[in-house]
Amino acid sequence: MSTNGQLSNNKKVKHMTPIQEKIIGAVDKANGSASWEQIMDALEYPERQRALHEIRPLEKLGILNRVVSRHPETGKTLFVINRVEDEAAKIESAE
Amino acid sequence: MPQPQIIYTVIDDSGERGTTSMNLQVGFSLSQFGEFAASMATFMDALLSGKIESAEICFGLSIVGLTSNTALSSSDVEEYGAFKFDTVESLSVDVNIPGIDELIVASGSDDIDLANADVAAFVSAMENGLSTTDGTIQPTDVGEKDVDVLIYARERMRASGKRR
Repeated sequence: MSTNGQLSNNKKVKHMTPIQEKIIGAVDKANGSASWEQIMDALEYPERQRALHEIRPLEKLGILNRVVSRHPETGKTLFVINRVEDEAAKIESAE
Repeated sequence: MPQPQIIYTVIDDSGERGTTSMNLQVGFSLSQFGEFAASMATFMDALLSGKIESAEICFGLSIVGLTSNTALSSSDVEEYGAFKFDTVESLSVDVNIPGIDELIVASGSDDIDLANADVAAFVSAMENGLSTTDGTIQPTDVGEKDVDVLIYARERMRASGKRR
């Protein structure tokens, strides 16, 4: 598992923004699967509005993915951001 | 299969529109319903001074499972959330949702609060689709190009919808 926005072999994705680094750091801190609230806690107020826009490129690179669902009984939204397992593919895509 | 409904829109000489709908039997294919709709349109056309502008087939779905689907005292369908997305080919897709909750609008602005978990989940579902039993269904534009990325989300006001 990687930490602080870095991949496990210490290769950093090029052009990662500070917000993206914080997002990945939050996901890693949560053992690879963070709730939206955990992502928000890792960001300052103005950065929070940018989070969705910053996650999308990471998703396209295959670094993160988002999983959404609604609980069938409570109606509560379940929303988590996960690390994608295949890190070799991520490094290749990023470079 | 839920019961299908065909909706015809008629336009008059001044550009005003009216709609009529009819419910149909279940158990036929989409192409059969399309054939029926086109054929029935010819019979209706003989009765009209206006022009049949469009015909749509709708399938009503059960919403019994929506647990928190209630109208709050503050609800107002004239307040809507305007979500603008780009497709993978950079064409725009607008999703305008009436009756938006003021609580998801960022304080002191007309921006929808993208930090809100429910908003973020909805945007993610639009951008990535939702998984179903036999695969993920992705929202698209009219040309079936995948919705790709959110451009903006804002609160807007408009007159109440009078479509049907």
